[in-house]
Amino acid sequence: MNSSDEDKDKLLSKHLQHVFSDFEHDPPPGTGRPIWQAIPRRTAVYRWLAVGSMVLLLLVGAGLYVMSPERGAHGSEYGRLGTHRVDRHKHSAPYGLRKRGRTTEQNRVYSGQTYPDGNTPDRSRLAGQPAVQPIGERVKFAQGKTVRPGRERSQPARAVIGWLAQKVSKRTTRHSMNKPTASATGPIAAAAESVAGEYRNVQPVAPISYATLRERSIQSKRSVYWPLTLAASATVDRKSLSVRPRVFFGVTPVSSYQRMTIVNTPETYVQHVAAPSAFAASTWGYQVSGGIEWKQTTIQLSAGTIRRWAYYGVADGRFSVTPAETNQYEIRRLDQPVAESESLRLLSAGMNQQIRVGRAHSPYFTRLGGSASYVPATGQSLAWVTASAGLTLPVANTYQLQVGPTLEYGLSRLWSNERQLIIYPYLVGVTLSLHTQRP
Amino acid sequence: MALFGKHTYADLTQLVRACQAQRPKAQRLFYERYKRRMMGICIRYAHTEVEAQDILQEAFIKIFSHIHTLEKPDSADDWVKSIVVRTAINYYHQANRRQERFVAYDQLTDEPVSDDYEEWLTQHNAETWVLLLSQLPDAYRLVINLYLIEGYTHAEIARLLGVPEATARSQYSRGKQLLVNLLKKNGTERHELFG
Repeated sequence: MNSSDEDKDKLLSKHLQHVFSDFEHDPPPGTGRPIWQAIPRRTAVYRWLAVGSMVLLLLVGAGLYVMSPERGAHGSEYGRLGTHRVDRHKHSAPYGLRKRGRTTEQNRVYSGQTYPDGNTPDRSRLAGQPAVQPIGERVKFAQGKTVRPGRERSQPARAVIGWLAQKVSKRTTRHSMNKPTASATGPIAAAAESVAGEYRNVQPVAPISYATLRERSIQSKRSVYWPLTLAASATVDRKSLSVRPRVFFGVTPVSSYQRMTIVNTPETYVQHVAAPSAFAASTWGYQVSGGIEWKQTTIQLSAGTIRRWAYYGVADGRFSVTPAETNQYEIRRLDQPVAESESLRLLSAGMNQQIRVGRAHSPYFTRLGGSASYVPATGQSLAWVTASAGLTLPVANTYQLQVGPTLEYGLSRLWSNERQLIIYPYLVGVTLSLHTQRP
Repeated sequence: MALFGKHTYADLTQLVRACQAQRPKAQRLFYERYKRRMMGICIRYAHTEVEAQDILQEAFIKIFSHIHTLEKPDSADDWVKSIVVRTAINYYHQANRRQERFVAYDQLTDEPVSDDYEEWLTQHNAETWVLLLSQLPDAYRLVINLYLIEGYTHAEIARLLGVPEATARSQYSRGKQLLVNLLKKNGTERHELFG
């Protein structure tokens, strides 16, 4: 290689190094996917923190539920009570505990007894029906008290049974004024149950004493949510609910928005923001929450993801000149379309105070409170004021479903990278949550 | 916007430390930081864009798997580039990928070029050069890239490729001649590369 070739090589090398010094090329979409699948990545700590917090919350909730002082006191009280004490206190006992009291009482009173006719107990007895009664005592029915305690039936079935038993009991009472019979309840129960369609093989049961039947009938009213009974026990019920913590879980589809103002600084070059939506595209996501409700106070943890899709144009250094009118030209700055798809994860902890709307057992409620959020991706902490309203719907005996809108307004001020735009974020969503309640 | 903005580490050292801690967000940022530049290198070494994509993926898997060995995070730029170059070399050194193209001797005839050699060179932009490089046989393309653009010596290239130094020199000479011939054939036409 002579010197001329060396010079040419140097020139070529210098030129190529200059050309490729800042040469870049976009990799095709999806290039990174195999990389993320192949490389070792540490699972994000915050996910484990969220899961751990949820589990801890569950354990604490379950512990509080089991070790509730009220629950323990009643349990011991029922252990000491006899039939008469239960009779005396049953009206003031909390609604949810009445069933347990009744069961304990029945176990103490009726256990070990046998039928005079030697029959084995049928289903109605197992359901709480008094089984043994001396033959010859008067048989009376309280009005319309034929629904068996501790047994849930559909509303139509209860209505039919009540109506039929009322009719039959009137007739039986008139008939039994002269000659009470031990088998008076047999046809009644059989007829009532056959109407309900629940019992195929109803055996005539022993007669029921007046005192026991009346007690049973009162309990029966409560066990089927008789409105009158609910109203009477409203104070007790609310008191009992306020003492025992309840656990709940919920999910909230949310959408976030941002309200912005401009900071006037000497460096400010954004003089007018005509379309804030261009800077704050709407987002969609969800929040999963769980917590404890205690004395109308709700403490909850939540985790959520909000994703933003945005399509907008970014102006670059290119301009297009087009003739507008005679001897005039329109210079327009060109832009490049940019698509954004970013997600934001939020971990939050909050406290709310629940306020019932309307009367004592109104299903409507509002909640006011605050929460703090942590954004793992950016390390930011945000404070929110939260407000929600909703409707409570009973689900079986042990759960409540609450549904209603939620609004969270961000107290933390965010700003753009240039610190010219102050952002006030807020979230809007609809919460659907399942709450435990006293059985 | 700050709410949805990507987390920016204060400097490269923090970013590398976070990658060494295998933080997914940092790894993504690291990839975003280098992907365009490294893809540019891969395209120079690759015959097609698909091969360049393969090289880039292999290189980043190596980078993230061995980033804990990087003791000086400040030198991450050079370290990443060296891994990409070595990955490209290995890619074309694998036996099943060897597709050496036979070049007719008449293609290598030394034809005189313009008197103003430098001006003639500057008439071609990066895309044209990449297109011409991609038409070279794999071995020639490697040597041309390593010698003319990366600045390696023939001895270093010989070590990298595992060939005698004389072979490296010979490949460079032939490759350069072929490149100049291709350049003359293309003239000053501008080619759009990769669509």
